[in-house]
Amino acid sequence: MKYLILISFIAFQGTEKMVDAENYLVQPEKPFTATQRRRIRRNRLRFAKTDCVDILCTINKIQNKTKNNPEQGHIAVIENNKQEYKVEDALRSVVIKDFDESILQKMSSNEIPPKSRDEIKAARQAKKAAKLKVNNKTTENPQLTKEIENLNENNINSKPKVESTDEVDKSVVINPNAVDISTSREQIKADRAAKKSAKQLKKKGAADGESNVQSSVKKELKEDDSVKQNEDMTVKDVVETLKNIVSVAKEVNEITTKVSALDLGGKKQEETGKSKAELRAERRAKQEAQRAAKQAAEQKVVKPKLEAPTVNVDVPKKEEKVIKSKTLEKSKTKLQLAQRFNWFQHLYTEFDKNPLKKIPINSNLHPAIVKLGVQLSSRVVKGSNARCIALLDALNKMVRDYVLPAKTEFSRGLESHLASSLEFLWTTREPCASQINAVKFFRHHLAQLPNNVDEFDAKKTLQEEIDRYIREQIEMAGEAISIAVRNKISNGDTILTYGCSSLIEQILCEAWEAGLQFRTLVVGSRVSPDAAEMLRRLCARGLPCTYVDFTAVNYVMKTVSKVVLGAGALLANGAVVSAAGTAGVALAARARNRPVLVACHTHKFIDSLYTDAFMHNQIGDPDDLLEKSDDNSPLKDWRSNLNLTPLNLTYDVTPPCLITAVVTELAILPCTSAPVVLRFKLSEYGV
Amino acid sequence: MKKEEVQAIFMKILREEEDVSAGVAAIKTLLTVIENYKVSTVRELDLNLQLAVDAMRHCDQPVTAISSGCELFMRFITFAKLDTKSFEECEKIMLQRGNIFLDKLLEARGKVAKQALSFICDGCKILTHSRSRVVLQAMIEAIKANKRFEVFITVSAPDNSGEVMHKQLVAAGVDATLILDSAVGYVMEQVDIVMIGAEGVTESGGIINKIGTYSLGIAALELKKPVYVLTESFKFSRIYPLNQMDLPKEFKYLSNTLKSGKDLSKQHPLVDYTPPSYITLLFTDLGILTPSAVSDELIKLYL
Repeated sequence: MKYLILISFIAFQGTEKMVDAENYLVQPEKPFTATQRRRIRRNRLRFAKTDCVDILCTINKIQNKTKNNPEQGHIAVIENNKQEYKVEDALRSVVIKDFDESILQKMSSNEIPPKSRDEIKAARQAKKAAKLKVNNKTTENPQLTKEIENLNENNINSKPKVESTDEVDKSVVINPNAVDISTSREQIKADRAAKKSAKQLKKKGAADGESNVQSSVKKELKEDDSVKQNEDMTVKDVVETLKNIVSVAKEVNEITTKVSALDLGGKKQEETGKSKAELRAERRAKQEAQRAAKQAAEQKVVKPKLEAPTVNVDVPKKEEKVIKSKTLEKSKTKLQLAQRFNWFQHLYTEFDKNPLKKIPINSNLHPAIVKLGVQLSSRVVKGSNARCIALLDALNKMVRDYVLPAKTEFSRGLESHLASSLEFLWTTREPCASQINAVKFFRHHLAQLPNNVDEFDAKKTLQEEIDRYIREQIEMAGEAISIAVRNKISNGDTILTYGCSSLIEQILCEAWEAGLQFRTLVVGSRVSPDAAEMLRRLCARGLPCTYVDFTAVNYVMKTVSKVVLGAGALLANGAVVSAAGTAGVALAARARNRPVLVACHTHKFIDSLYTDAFMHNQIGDPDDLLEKSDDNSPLKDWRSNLNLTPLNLTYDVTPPCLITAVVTELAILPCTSAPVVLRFKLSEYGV
Repeated sequence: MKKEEVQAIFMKILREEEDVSAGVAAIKTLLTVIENYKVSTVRELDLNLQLAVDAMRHCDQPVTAISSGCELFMRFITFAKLDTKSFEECEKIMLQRGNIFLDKLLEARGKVAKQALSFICDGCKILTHSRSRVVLQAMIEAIKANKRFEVFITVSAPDNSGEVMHKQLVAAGVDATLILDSAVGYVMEQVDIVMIGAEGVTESGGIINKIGTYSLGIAALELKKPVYVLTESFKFSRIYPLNQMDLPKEFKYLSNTLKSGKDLSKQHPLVDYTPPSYITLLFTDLGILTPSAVSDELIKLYL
């Protein structure tokens, strides 16, 4: 693949000094001489096994050679070019006539003959000797030039396909100034060589052939000590371009894999946060693809029947994608629907990982809201407390900067603005219980504002209410809960917790700092990195902790004294909604009769009631279930398999019978007293 | 006001009135403290009462009922609007409310007994544990209502209070049988219902009662016998034990034992905790409650 790109790039980035090759093509054909035929045969064999690596080596060697040998003879250059042409001839014939053969040859036997290589080396030695002789004879210039012309004729005669020049003409800018025989002839010839090789590649699209051409060209260049000062410029240019080509080739390679992955559809969880470099490379690749496609479209390309994933094949594919995006999308959604788990059809939403696409151009969403949306969708902000505080903060800013349109009542206007903001936010990520309650609270206070309230006062009230909510319901409640749980921890205890919860972290750290001696076990799952984050935080505060994978939770349960869990929400029947895996931990604790404490702020209590994790849940990124470090993971290509659907659920529901107590800032309560708290909150706060 | 004086009053009440439980005695003591020890501010009164409660907890009496009863008492008397009156009036109001509280308490037992009456049917066999005045009253009421039933009563070591209960039941005309604590599992298949009292009711809906109650509860659950707890509402406490070890030490051991500095793990605890899952219903003066409703009632009382 890389080789093709290399060659194609050479074609695209032709140096300005490239001259039209067709001047040399309008000559009558002549048959090959014996030596020529021999050479052709030898080259055919040799080039059948060359590698791209050679190209890089040759680049270095060329550079070194050019550094070491600045002075070269004029004649030697011409000699070199002659050789180049000969080689090219051979290759062209190989490519055109015996392409399949050569490919098969290569594929069947990788050890094509070191013999031929030796032969070639010997030939080169001979040439070197000849050149040295030639250097002494300076009078032979006109002869050589004649020879060259002859050779050119030969070369041109042997060339079967003439129409390729049209394409080359179009792609290359003709620089008439370059037709200056005396000084720039070498340059011209070098350019010509490069152009011709590029043409070959374009025609054939054959990786090996082209790489062979390149390698052969470079080999000739490198082998010759006489490649020189006059050719320095062009060689260096070519070297540089080759280097660029290699690097871009790598990039394009990456992109093609990404693109091909995207191409096959699946859930619309596209990668967020593509780095700028990646985006640039993607764009570049697209451009190249389009250009290549254009070229390909203009001539009947003899595509290789073998080796499917070559870049040239991908290039027209990309173009097809660009053009036929509609049909692809159709097949994409078909694939998506087929790969959804039946019981969760109601949970799959068209989540776009890049929520910024959803904003219409003229929307007046506050930038803080937009920012929050991106943070939520990319999971930068996670955890119920963090999300609630972030939401309230964004609402605070929104209120602060809200401009009341004329003849509108403040509460009505803000309510509609709020509605549109929330609509956007909930598309980025479904709201959690704490966020729902926070919004309820905010709306309640918004509705409570008197009719003809002054805008400034209204804003001030709302902002104060928001601050109070955060302070009372989250911060102070957290402290109260921390103290309550601390009273339940005794010296020598082993506390088990699951996943990451900011409240649990606060409880454990504060208990530790208060002097209690206990050990912590953090249980985590391979899928989410939360538990590792929790472990990190606890260790940073000096707590003795151990990390256990979920599969070992039953094994360690006998050493545990208490289990303390965090909650995302508490339902009206006392069930706890929390990160997937919590129910399993609670069950394991129950089986060993260990008390299970759930620490939950009262602002997370919600009025709804469901008993299982099917009704309300969130489908996470299915690619998270893959083992990233395992390249041979059987799940790697799950998108291509219609019978396989990785399902990544975010939440689960722990039934109240598995929970010993819920610790809230009001009291330590049994799970079943959740409606009591809801009733109490209603009477106290009106919400 | 001195600790010893309070303790003297407390012990005197307990001695003189046989029928009175420790909790009721404690509340009576507090009322006496308010009446006799004159103070000039509410704050001082509050302090006095707290001191009194503390004194009573060190009296070698079961602490559970004392602490819960006193706390509820304090909340009740200070619940009135005391802002705008002079201190004497405040004191009068508090005393008034205190007496109301006490009267309510004394009536509570009767209410509970009446509620339990409908659950005692003819020919049923009841298993009970240790000495509970409420259960005794309930059974006496049942006898008065001409019900025929049998009672199994455990000896309830180490203080053998079950024997006292047995005597009282027989004197009341109940067909009572004294059994060993260890024979609970043996007898369980014969009984129809289990009726026990409680020294304290926790926020979880479980109960704190004489040691041996937990085993009784486990056996009853295993053999599918309903467990009814007869208790007054002033025994509701805000503690939430997670397991037996989590019970406060003051409840489990006498204050003398705690003071003496002996190794507590070698001492016999006086009480144990029965989790709510072993209890079917609680009969209280607030009504017949399920264990989960206890927390609801507590929140109403306290918040």
